[in-house]
Amino acid sequence: MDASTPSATTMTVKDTSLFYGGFRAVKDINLHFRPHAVTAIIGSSGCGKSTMLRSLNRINDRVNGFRVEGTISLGDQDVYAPTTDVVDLRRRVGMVFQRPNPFPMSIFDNVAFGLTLYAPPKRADLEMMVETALRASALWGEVKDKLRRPATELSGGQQQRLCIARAIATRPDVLLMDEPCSALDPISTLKVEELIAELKRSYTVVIVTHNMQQAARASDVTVMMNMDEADRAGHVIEVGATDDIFTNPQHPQTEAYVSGRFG
Amino acid sequence: MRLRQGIVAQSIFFTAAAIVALSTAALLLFTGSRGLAVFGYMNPAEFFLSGSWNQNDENFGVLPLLAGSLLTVGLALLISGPLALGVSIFMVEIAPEPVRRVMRTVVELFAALPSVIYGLLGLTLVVPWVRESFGGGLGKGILAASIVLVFMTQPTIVSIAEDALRALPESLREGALAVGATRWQMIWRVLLPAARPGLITAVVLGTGRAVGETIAVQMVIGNITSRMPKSLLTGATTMPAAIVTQLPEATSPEHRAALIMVAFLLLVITFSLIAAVRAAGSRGKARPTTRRRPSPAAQTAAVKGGD
Amino acid sequence: MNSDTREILATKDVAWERRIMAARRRATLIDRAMTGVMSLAALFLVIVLSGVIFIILRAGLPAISWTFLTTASSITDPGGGIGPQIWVTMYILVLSLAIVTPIGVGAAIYLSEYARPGPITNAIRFSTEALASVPSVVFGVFGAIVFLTIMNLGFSVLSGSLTLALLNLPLMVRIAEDAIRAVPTAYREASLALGGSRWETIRKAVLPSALPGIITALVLTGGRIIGETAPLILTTGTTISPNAQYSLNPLQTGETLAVHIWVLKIVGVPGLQDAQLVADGSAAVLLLIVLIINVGMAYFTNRLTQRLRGASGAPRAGGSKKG
Repeated sequence: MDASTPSATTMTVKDTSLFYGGFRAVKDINLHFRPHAVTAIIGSSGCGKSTMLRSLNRINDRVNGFRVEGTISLGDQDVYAPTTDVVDLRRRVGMVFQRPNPFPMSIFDNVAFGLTLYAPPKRADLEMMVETALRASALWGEVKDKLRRPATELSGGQQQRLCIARAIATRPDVLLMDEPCSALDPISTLKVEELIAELKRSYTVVIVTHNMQQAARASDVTVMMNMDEADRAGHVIEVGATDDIFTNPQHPQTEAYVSGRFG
Repeated sequence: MRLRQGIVAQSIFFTAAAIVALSTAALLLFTGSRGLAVFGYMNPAEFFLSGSWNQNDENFGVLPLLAGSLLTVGLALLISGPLALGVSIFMVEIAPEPVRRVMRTVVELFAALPSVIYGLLGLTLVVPWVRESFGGGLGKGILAASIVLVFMTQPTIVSIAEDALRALPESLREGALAVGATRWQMIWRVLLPAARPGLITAVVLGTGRAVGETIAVQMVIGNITSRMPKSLLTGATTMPAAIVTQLPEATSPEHRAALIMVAFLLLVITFSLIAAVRAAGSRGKARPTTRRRPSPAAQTAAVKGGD
Repeated sequence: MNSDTREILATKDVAWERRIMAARRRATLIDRAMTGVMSLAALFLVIVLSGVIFIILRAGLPAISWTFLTTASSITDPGGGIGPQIWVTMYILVLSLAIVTPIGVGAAIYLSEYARPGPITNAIRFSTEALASVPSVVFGVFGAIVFLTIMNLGFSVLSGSLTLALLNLPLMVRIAEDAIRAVPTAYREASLALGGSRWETIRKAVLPSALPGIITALVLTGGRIIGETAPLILTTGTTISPNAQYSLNPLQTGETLAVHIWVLKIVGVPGLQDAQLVADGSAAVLLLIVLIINVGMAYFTNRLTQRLRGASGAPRAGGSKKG
């Protein structure tokens, strides 16, 4: 391997509102996602945290009527600039979804998918990259003897780790995770959480979660969002180091939420 | 009294359902028995292996009919399959909703056009075009028939392929795009393989549609039964075309039996296609799909048998 | 994860990234090109369909007049029309629908309301599906064997109607069954809770709500009957006896509009001078009927689904707590 550069990159959200048609789903967001850290976005359902996350890699562009006001940037690149190459953006901002969504192909081909889209590497290199990604997602030991089997034969937890492997195989700058454990059993959840803690050493990680313990365990920074009762738009209530948010919340709504009184 | 009424109603409805089932059985039974009677006049080898079907010398070899059907349908599907696939991809992945609705109506209208109108247009547009572009002959033949069939099979293939693509979960599309695939890479590498069982079903049912098509093909193929098809440009025939051309005038019992046997073969072919689709369908059932209820007109588009 | 793995994942291979960016441009071009190809395929179908409609109507509309629609064509003087063919077409339409509707709807009611899973239901379902795939010419052959020969009805309007009824049975069953199944369970439960028997529930609650769907089935089946050719050539015949035009006798031979076009273009009517014009006019009439049925149907179902959507959408919007 010749010249290499570190990849983790900062993502910044500035004065941003997100709309579905005429409805403002999220308003006035200012956030900064640090490299080599896990940022957790928490908040009650309907507060727009998923919408927020899905706007970072423009996957929400697929939703009819979705619109963004404000500036979201990856490094110094404006994500929603008309000149932005959306495909390249998504190569740089990987995503893991709420429900595991392996492609109906072999385990190997799932992980290799992103690697073979452009300038596919030599077979030996490809095999090595797939193995690296599977090791990183703590799945290698379980699947190394059945790489040719259909991915759909794996258990739910394994499928989700496979999707993580697929997302990190292409070495993105940022990794987005949309409630990655909500469809998993507790043991799988624990494995994925350990994985997230490892992954932050390589990436900028942003995770949306419903689960307070998960945010407390796996994240460095926590963003608390809530819905404004007046206009039903989601907004940020409080941002801070995870320890502070959970032990010493400044805002009464945050306190109520992290202590489990509503949500 | 109320109870009696209920029982009477139920038995009436059951009878109606039974009529449907019995019709299918009767169809097989009557065409089968009357058709197989042909082997009382000639041995199966003569029927299946002779390359000539000629009522004047009472020689009924089914090969020219089979070959004509095979070539016509094969050639038609070669063009119609990719075309229909492109249209269904456009409808599901590219077109905005209003455009998609227009396309749906267009496809349904292709299904609604009577065969005889396809035949008429084949006669006035396709046949002269073939004659002038490829030179020589009358222009009637396998090529002209295939071109007509390309359009007649569109509704069947498009509507089923469209359903198959639409049934794919949105999460597959998001998954592919999220790792940086272009839309076409998503379609080609993820969606088409994932929808393969449905797409194969679409083509198989399109084949059934094309194999059974009668009048439109009969009007443009030239109806030469006495020899094997010589080229794509000269006169030939297909199984249904031969039946409709000759059965009304067939007087000898041998000729009639031979034609009914051809109908029975058609029946066997279409039933096998359905059985193949069913077998494939029950194997592919493991994946849960959310099926949209197709509109009644779309159902006609999908099931309309050849005229 | 060991530190090697972490190292690899955290870095980018710059040379490879450069090659990727080059390949990215190519992939973007392919993506655009394929989008163009798919759109052209769709556009092609639209153009062909519009062309077909335009050509048929341009050739045929000038021929259509009241006389054309109501008089018979004649060998001696040109300018005649398709009156008897329209008569036979309507006769066969009514007769087939009268046969297929009760059986089709009855079978649909049985399948949706009574049938329990089991071998008999399976057999009926498989038969319906199989029957739907049978080419129409085979129905013609079957009709020729059973109605013409065995029942000795000969080439006749009745033989043709029976054949077409059989041919359209599966479609009728399928659409009617869908319509009946679409009736909300709540209707059934309400009727049963009020002490209605199953038959009363079907008659008073289910069938009335399924009626629009059943009418749809009728109209679509009608459209197919009007356009059918091959089975009728084999069962109804290709001539109308000059002294039995507009006859109500179902045992007369007949010739529908669609068959008439075929006869004019393929078999030929000796001595008829304006055969081309009559054929073009007939095709235009046939096409207009089909267009009216389908466009009307599309409009009707669109309005119906909009109404249903409106009805089910209202409580959801009101009851939702989610922003």
